[in-house]
Amino acid sequence: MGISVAFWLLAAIIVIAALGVVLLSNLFRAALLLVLCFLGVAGMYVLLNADFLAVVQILIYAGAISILLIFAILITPQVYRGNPFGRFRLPALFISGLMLAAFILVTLGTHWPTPAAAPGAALGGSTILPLSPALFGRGGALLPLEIAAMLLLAILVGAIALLKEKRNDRA
Amino acid sequence: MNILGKPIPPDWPGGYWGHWGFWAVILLAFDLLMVMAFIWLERRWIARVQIRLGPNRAGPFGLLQPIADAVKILLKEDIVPERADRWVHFLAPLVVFSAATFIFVVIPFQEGAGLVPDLNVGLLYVLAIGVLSLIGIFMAGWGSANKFSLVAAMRAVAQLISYEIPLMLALVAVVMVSSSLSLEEIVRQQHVPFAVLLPLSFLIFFIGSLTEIQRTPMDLLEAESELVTGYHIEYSGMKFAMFYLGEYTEALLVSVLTTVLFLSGWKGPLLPPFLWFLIKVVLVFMVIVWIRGTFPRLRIDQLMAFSWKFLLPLSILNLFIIGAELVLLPSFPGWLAPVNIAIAGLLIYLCSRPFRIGFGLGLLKGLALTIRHVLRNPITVQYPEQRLSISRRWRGQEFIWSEEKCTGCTACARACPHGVIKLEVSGKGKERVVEKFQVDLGRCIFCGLCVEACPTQAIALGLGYESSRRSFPELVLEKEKLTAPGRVPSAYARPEFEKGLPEQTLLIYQKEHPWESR
Repeated sequence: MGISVAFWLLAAIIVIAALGVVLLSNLFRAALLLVLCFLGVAGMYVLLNADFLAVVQILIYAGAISILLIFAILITPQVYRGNPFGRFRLPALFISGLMLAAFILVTLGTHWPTPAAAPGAALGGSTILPLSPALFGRGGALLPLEIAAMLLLAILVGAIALLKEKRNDRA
Repeated sequence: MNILGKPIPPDWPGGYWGHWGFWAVILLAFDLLMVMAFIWLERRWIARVQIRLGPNRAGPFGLLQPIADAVKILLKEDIVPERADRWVHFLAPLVVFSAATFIFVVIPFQEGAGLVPDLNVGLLYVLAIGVLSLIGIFMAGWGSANKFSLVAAMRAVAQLISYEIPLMLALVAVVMVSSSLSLEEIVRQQHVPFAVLLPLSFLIFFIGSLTEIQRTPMDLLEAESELVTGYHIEYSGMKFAMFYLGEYTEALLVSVLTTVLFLSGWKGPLLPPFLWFLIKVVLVFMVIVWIRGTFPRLRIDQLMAFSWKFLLPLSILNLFIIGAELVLLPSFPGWLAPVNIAIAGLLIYLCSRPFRIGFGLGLLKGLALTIRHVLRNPITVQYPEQRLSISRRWRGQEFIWSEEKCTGCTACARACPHGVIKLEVSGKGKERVVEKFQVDLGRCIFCGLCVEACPTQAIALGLGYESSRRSFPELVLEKEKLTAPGRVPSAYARPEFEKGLPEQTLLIYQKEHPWESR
């Protein structure tokens, strides 16, 4: 009972916030609603017993990514003029309609297996301890993890290199 | 069962909802009461660090000062800038406050006491929710439609994100040693407090979190001198109070987290665990205020350089060393504490070499100096009860007139460049009587020419300085006021008075303050 009330509440929040992100002309408010949407999704994860995923969702999406987004909005020139329509109105409509259809088809066509017991209970009360062998253990996802880390490092070094070049120009 | 698949201890008759309701009330009450206490403590304690007294008038020891402050703030007008984004402007303080308050959910006050003290991902939850206050700051900066608040919000992001990295890396060491993310489990694992066992992590976490909550050495976001108080410049009244509350909640939070993560939480001998927890929280907060009272504000580039060039390499090295120690000694015994302290000292020495700032010893010297101030008597003058004695070299700002000595020669009135003195004399020769002697202080410039002109030394300037009156007519002094006893004539043009006067300005105690003498 309580779970389903929470589910429908979160669902309503997510859908309304998502609609607001798309429809609002005020970019800053749209970004804030995106944060709300992320938080709602985190709530959904909590309802699904995925506590680690929920917290990481807040940490990375509601925290880091949306801050980056807001930063990008703030340094966009003429952001006060809102979000006017571009020339790609019809192609955008077409592509997003196609995406929507594809998502609906895939979602409905997939068989979603659900375990009978809560995953936390099955794993001995902790949803994070099994993560470390899965990430760092033998046969785990160590290589993709290292590749992602290298990618981030490359981005970091690239950003520093870009900044440094500018400073030399000025001097 | 709670949502994480763990049974909730039946510590309250209502069961599940009773537990949540009870702890929600307790947490809010804890937050608000501790914030009030901290506001009082901060003002009194920073005053002692700076050899002052601090607020001591509202209630005994100034205990009612936070209430007076709150009432003052709530009575103020709520101003919203005309071009502000109203909704964003309204919601920003709420976001900042609630982001800080939600973290108390996972705090263990003692074994098993808390809303969800044993949350599986407790530490991650703390970090995740903590980041959300940034969005509140951004909302305030943007929603105010003010360039200063926007600049402050931009700075906030740069500052907070760059300190988030060493902070999290420092906490990874804690998680590795305690092999748990649950705050309660982390406290249970601390047979030796992590502040001693992982000194470098402790220092990095403490500095990082001081920056996260923008306490004074790192409070560039609200720099009054350049950013006109930063992102909450356009906030007043209740909304400003929410920001204020949020800031102190964050300070409380840092004290609580430091206690839980590094000072072994509720553990301690003799006293009940909850009391130990509170004592540690208050002590950590006092250290934070002590630091605030010692160091001046940093520049933004210094702050960034400190994080990226000093804290970040230090925290990565620290992580490697702790990891190596864990591989060699999986049980991580307590005797590693002196080893780790030595390693921390060495690493700080090595990492601070390129900065040529004396390895941070100056900071320690500063802290030692300010803590010595606590032992000194405050130099505050409690004005109506205590006054300053006036130096003999001061000319004086009041008039003393002697009816016996005055001959009514009107030399003073003629010497006065402003026509301040009015005399009426009747009779002749030896029977001359001064009917009226009037000094208008409203026009007097205290030049002292009248004192120099008087042949009989009947008029003198006095050492009193409280010459303000409620209305202009009261500034005109009649005979009675000029001859009133108990006043000390200054030595101006009267060198013979000089010996009886104090040599320099000093504090004299006229009567003891009702609440305290120090």
